[in-house]
Amino acid sequence: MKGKTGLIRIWAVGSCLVVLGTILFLFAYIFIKGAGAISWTFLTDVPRGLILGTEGGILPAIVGSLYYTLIACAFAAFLGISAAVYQVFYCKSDRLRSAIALIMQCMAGVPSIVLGLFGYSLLVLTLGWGKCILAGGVTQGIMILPFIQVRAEKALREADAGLVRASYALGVSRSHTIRRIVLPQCLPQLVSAVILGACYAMGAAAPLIFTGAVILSKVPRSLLKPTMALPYHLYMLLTQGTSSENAYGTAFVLMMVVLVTNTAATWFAWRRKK
Amino acid sequence: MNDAVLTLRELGVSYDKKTVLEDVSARIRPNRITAVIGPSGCGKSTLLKAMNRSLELEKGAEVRGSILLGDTDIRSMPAEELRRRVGMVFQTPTPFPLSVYKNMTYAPLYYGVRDKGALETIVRENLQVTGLWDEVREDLHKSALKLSGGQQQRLCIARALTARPEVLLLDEPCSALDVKSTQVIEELLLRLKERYTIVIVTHNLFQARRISDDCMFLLNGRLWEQNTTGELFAAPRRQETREYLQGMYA
Repeated sequence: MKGKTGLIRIWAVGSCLVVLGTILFLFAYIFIKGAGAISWTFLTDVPRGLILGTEGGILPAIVGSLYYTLIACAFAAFLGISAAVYQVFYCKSDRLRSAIALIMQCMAGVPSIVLGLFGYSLLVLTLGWGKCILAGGVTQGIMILPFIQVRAEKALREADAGLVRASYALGVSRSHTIRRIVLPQCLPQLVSAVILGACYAMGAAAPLIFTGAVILSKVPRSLLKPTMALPYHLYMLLTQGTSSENAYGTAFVLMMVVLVTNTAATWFAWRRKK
Repeated sequence: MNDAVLTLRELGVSYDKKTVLEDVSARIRPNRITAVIGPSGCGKSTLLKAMNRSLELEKGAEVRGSILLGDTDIRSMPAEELRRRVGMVFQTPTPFPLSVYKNMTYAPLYYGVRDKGALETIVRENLQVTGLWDEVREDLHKSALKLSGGQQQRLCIARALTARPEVLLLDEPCSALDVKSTQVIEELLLRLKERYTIVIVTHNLFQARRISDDCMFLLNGRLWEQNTTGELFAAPRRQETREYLQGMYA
């Protein structure tokens, strides 16, 4: 019995070490390889060079990625949280509730490249938006919608039922209770769900390939124009064999942006909990 | 005309076909404290929840019979209006995680009181009634969660009063409190009955005896006896009541 427990412990600790080691190695590798490419010009210039991307910088991609992600978050947070509120507070039928959960699961299972194709045919072609930031952002939004909805639903379901009852007991309506008691209480979890979704969206190239991302653009000035995005730029630099150094530099920047947003989310949730 | 504030007529409640209350008919008289006593699981809390229709919020609950508030069937009025007129305080204190002041203005703001002076009066008067004013007047803008358990419960009573109810339902309001806080709340309830009709569910027979005017004894989902507290304790009419009072079902 004792030997068995020991084995399980070794196995568990070993798995932890492998996971941690892989993550640390990945970070260190990208940071070391990419740090060389980072310079002021790299962060603030547009791509240049006879073969595009060998010289200059990636500013439009940084700004572009932020735009895509903001739109994705606005779209997915609004729909995801609204759907979660409906699920938890309004939906009376168990069957409907599980149907919604099933649909969300299916959405979460759709490969992102297929979502890209969907965005392309619906937003770019049928609705005639053309390839643009809005189309790309909304497509990414569809991708992170189930991600946010599931977490929001969990947060709302775990909201203090006693407070909700106390609010109803004062004769206060359901919608007012949700706005004044439930949502403020769940705010930390909701914000961290949205920001985790943002990190996910920021790293995804596939939804943008057909809907918004381009090889070269200026810093975007309109949501109805296409623009560069970090993951797509990274993909192009590598697949075209343009410059692996700049590819690592781009990966470095992408990871930094994601890391900073993620840390901010964790910090926010932690501070609100206190 | 009906002099009872609440009239229960053949009230029955079941959860998922399991009967919790059956055939309860009773009259709650105005400006008196009515205590509902009985062993655990006899349906006391359910009875209270039926009176402000919060049973409707629970899954699988089914209500039969009727309850009148004054002369109106409570099911014929909007649930929100009923709950404003019939306030409820729970077993564990449920202050909102907001300041004391915001707890007290939550309902008035919802009912459209916008004037700052009027709001302050509501806050002060209701805190004074519950004897909390002198204790928290310096800390109105501090979190209500910082108050002690007894203070939180009095805040919840004060908050219930801000909706200007006619009836106050209390579900074992002292069971989470110490002796001193319990005493403070009992004194408060005795003062409140001059203005409100109070129904209190309690496990504590001494408490029922100390503060209530009328008493309802529930056992296995049925109302076995209803009388003035003095008579019910002094000369219970039914064997079961006598046994309960002697501690047989405790």
